[in-house]
Amino acid sequence: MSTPYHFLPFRFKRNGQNVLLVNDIGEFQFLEENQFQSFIQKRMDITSDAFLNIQSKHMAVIDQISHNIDFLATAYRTKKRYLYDFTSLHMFVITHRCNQQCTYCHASSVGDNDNALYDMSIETGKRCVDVALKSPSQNLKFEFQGGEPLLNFEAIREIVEYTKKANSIQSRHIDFVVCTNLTKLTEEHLSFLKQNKISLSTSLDGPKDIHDQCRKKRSGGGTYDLVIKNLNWASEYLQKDHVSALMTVTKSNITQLDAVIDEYVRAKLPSIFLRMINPHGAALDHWRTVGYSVDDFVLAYEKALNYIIDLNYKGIFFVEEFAALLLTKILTPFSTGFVDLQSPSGAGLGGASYEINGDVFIADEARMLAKKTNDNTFCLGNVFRDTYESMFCGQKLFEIARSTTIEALPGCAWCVYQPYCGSDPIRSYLEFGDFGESQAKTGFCKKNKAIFDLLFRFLQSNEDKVIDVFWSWISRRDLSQIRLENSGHNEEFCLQA
Amino acid sequence: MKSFVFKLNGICDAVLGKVSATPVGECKDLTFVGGQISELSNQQSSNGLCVYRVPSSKLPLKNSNGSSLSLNLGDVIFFTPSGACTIEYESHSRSNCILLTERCNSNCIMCVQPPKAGSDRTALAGALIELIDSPTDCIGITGGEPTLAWDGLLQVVHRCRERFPSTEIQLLSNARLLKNYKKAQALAEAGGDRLTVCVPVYSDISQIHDTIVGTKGAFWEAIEGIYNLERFNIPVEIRTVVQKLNYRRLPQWGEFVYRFFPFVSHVAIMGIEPIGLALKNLDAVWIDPLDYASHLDASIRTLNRGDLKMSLYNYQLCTLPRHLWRFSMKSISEWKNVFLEECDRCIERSNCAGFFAASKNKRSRGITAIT
Repeated sequence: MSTPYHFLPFRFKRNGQNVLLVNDIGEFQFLEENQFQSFIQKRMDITSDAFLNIQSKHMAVIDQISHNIDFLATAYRTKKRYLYDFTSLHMFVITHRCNQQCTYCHASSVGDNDNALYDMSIETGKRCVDVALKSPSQNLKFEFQGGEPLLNFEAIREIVEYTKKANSIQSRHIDFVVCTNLTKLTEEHLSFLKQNKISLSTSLDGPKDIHDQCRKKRSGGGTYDLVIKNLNWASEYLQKDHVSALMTVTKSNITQLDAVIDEYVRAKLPSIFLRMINPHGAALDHWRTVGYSVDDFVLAYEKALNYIIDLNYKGIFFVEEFAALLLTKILTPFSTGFVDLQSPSGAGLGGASYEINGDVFIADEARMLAKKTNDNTFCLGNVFRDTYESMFCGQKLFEIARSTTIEALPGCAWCVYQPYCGSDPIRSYLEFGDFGESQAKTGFCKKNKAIFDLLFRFLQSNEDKVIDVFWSWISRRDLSQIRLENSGHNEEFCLQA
Repeated sequence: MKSFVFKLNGICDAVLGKVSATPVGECKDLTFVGGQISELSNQQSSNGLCVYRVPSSKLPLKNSNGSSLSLNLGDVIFFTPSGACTIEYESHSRSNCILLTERCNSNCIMCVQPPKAGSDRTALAGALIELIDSPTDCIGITGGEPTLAWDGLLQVVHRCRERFPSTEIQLLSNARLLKNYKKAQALAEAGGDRLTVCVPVYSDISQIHDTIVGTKGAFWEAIEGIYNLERFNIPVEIRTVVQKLNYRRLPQWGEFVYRFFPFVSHVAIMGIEPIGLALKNLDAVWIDPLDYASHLDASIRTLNRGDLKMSLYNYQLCTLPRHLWRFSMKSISEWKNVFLEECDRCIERSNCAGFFAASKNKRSRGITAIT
């Protein structure tokens, strides 16, 4: 008997009596165990709805295989589009000085005594820009980090002006972002930011009692009141979408994430990124006071996600950014460049971090590792000594790319979530001493898998109510537009038959 | 394109004429002789077609059954020696269609205008473009399958662009021949930034599409064609006609369109017109919109979640769930458009697409006045 159908590549995962199937371009299908058995044993009736659903998701074909492969290749190219953009995120460490001393600081900052040893010089800044502008990406993002970058504002001003001049011929799209704790914000800063359409990204860990537990001034005392005051000021001064906040989930807020979310809503912030703390910098030293297990995080994340979904039901448009990112990968055909979830890893290929002395690292975490332990494993070179080509097209980045291509990593290669996932070579290095080969054993993997499980539980239940909220996050539209609530008539005009 | 039967005297060649108050170029007048049209003289113009003028003072022309043929200044009409008369271009309409050929390389089971072998109308279309005084918002190019008349199609598109640079051109094509990269490229060059190609994709499943189209392999040819159009940045509209063979997969079809054609400028979902082959194959194709309301709803939800623009064509509002009314388009041209007695009591009549006059053979059981 001739084979009724042929398989196309897919990965699968059992969950009780259900099996999740995902193909290389991220299309997915749930099957019951008995259906799955009949499918893989090629006993399925090719005219049944169950088979047509599988065919529609390109996991099996009855004929014309080559057409299907071409078709999938086009979709695959689209999904991997971020690779064409190469390094688009460039983070400049403007200073190591900081007026705050946060318990979980990843950056190992120093005090804010006026010491030029800890600042990026203007000359170094310009050399960093020269290197960053060699990146072929048409859309670049320059982020100013620290320490507290506003303590070396003159360097920011000079770098922005130098960049604009250097970019005047190519006129590529460049977004500037200042990552600041906001406590040193002045009118002069805001005026410059506004004039140059620069965004502000700050940190807000929750209401006063939570925020002030970790985010303290070096001189003592919490920073909450000042942050809220200046956040409101900046929001009024700058364009609405030019002010955003990040938070870190720590031991002090992990059981109270709903209060943190309420605080964000109160501050009129449109979204939150529930970020798990990473074992870097000061966070590692204070792990007993700030750290927690991956399981703790996942439980808290699920609770918080449900809380946020409920807020959206109540008419408050509010996005959980990590879920929005993963859902965009799962539900849309588009490429989503997010350096932490790319394969090969976005460390280096998607983003790079420039130290105050001009050392170039593949990521902020890599730069912090070097600063804390003098381990320069992930340093690509220095803007004074090395060329763009030797750093970004050199042997080291080549090896990192090879070790972080999860399609070819044990554990990742057959993981059902692989098409949506990425790798973090620094995490793999810290936990297992390799560049990424041990990816599937890291906490990074454990966390991502658990959150994918959670999101796929929502997708399997397929409740319109929840799915509508997810799409409103993906497409950044009001829930009423997704729900087709607006009635009325079509006023458009068409070619009549 | 309106069709009429008109009694003509003394015409031995096809005649294309424009309703005009003043002579145009080497045109000759058409005049009335005893209630019928005659030509005063017969002079071939350079393009091989006779171009005539109907003096506006002679309007309105009378149809052979005595009914009035309402013509406006600028309308372009076409007579054949057998007496068939068509209004090829209506200056007062917002949209006009140019029929390029009646030949087709597909044989869709519900085709409203069954394909016919024979000569193309490219010369006529070319002459028509030259006669148009003021362009409408949109000019459609239809068939048959217009890409079969390839050289003529390129000329018409190119000349349209040249004469009316701001007029939108909508080409209704099955895109199968556009799987040829060079053809897609040539079309893009001719169409510039004013061309949209409307392509039917009837199902997410190749064998269902091929069954509807009556041609094996048509699905993948169309997809290659669509991707070539996208390669040249030509806007694409995806269309489907909902029928018995494909309605059950409407939700999956919506997902398929979003996943693989997220670049489309518009998606059109059409109700069946029970005329032509659709009438002949009525049992095989007819499905009442009431019986697939939930499928339609799921499909539209999916497309809307993906932020695609979409419209419903040929649906009467009373056959649609109320929250989908906002997508329903008045898609039937006025002269083919009718309403029922029942519709006189309906408060939504003015917002409704109504019926095709020729479709009285089959109507949804959901037809009822909304009061």
